[in-house]
Amino acid sequence: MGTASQEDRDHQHGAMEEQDLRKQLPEDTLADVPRRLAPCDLAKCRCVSKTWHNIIDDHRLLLPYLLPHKVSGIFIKFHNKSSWELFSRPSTGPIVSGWFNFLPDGAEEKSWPWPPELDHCNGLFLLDDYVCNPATRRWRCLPPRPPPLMAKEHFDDEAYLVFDPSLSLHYEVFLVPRIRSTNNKLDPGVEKSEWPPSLFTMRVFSSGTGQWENRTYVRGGEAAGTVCSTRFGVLYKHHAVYWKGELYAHSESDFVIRISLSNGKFQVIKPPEGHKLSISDGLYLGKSERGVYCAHVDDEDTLCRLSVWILKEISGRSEWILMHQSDIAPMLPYYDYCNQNYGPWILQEINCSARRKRYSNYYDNENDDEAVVQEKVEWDSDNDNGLQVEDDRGHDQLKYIDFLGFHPYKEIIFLTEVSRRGMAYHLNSSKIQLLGHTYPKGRVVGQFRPICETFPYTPCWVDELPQIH
Amino acid sequence: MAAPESGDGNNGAARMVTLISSDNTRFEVEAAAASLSQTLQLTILDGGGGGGDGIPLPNVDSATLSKVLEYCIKHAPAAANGGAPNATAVDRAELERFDNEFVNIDQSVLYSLIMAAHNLEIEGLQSLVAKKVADMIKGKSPMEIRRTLGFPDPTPEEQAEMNAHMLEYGWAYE
Repeated sequence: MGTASQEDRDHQHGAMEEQDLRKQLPEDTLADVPRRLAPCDLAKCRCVSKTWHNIIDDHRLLLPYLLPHKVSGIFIKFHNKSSWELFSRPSTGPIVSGWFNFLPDGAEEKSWPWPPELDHCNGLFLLDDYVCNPATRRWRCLPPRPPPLMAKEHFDDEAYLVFDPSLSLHYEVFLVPRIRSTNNKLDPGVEKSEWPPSLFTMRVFSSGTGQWENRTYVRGGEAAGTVCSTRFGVLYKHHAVYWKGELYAHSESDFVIRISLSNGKFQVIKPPEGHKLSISDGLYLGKSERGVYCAHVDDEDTLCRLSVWILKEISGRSEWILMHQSDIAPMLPYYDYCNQNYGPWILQEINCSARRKRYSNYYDNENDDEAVVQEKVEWDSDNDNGLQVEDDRGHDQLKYIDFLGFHPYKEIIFLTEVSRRGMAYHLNSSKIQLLGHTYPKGRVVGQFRPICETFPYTPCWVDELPQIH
Repeated sequence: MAAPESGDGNNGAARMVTLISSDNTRFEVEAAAASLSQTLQLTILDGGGGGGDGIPLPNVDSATLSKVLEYCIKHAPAAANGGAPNATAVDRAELERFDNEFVNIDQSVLYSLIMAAHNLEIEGLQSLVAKKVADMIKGKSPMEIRRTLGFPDPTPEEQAEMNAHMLEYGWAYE
């Protein structure tokens, strides 16, 4: 028996040796096979042999799956934590780690002890002066930033990354001037000037040229107001959305600046009609299934009213159209302090302690209450989809709803309640799904609202990042 | 000095053509069936392959050709109906059953079929065999795929390369 099967195998090997197979089967024929495979089978076939590797890469068969197409988690920055952490559903296999340990020594030093400045666009990160991809663990260091173009008593620069791997692997970094929140020595002339100016010049780094340059955009339509009238407290959530060649930057008093990259123009988009300005809970800007959205939660009385607008072009003007409004308070399941099992997602607390170990001289290992250094976490994959909220036991007065982000591909909004439990709210069905516990271990400033910035992370697996020359 | 091709004059009988395999076996088959091959279609339209002539197919051996023709004969009526929009569900189910059984074959035969389907440009057969190979690969590890496809075990260098490639798309192994 053993001999026979051995013979069979030898025979097969002889007949089907890879070199022969390549001669025998034209590549086009083989290419028809991988086209029929699911992405994970395709990725495995890519490892099978050089021939298959080349077929799959030459025909770019994996590309659609390498481009960002799913949310792998949500990055969260807490007010007094020294870094960002990934809130995600653990997986038993190798996944994207939320750990920034692939960056070179010193990469995160610049902003220490504050969290690094972080922007995300289609799987690529701008982390202080580094552009990096956590999925492929590649990084590039940008040349030093040029000084701000506008008077630094009044303005500072906000950095936004622009990247669309379905069009090009090149990326750009925009430094958009923003009004500083407070300052004593203000020049009345500047204070009375229009904001944003009719000619808006900003620094832009392009990976194509490898250099910073000045770009001037011409305003179409009205300004939002004056520097003085649009100055607006502390705006933590400086979200921007890159959608179809245009950068939408959430600005001072809840207006949005839309910069068209192709035609050198920009426009001010006013906040939705009837929207009240408030320092603590401004609009949340995001990208979802059908374009650019913004949302707001009013939870100051017993209600908890969620409003969602979508940006539409109406006779040449961009306007926010109210698309969803509901009181979500009755949908929130009973909040039980003792039971923190809100769902399968967990906050991966890696970066803060790793960063402290690296940069803090008085780092005390004994007292480290946040050293949950886990790169991968085992999880029961049966408990796959989070806890569906079935029981409707009413709700106590806790709410403090904050946005974690828009799902970029489905009409879902990620929310937290008292920053402790993460939830997914489905706009179409008005259903809430609990995701998991979002509150960090250890001391946090701002008991009910410790979260200061977040964004949903969509990994990009294209394993190339243009060199900077 | 072959007799002139009688073409349409065959009094209702379907026109036949002769195909000659690489090992010189002659196959007589209805022109409609052979025409599923894009490669043969033009020759047949020009009146080739009839009478004493045959169309030589130097790349296809007799075992493979007989298998290919089995497919063509089965699929010719449906193809003649222009993709058979009016085919009954029963007909379609029967073709599907036939297809499934048809590719339930040894790997060496399967690979000869892939080649023949490619050379003869028989679209339906090409996609049928590609689907079969894809099904054989589904859910397998790279090493299992190698074995399935009958590749020899990798050399240490190849193994190292495989391991490196496996790291590149970690999500595939979740």
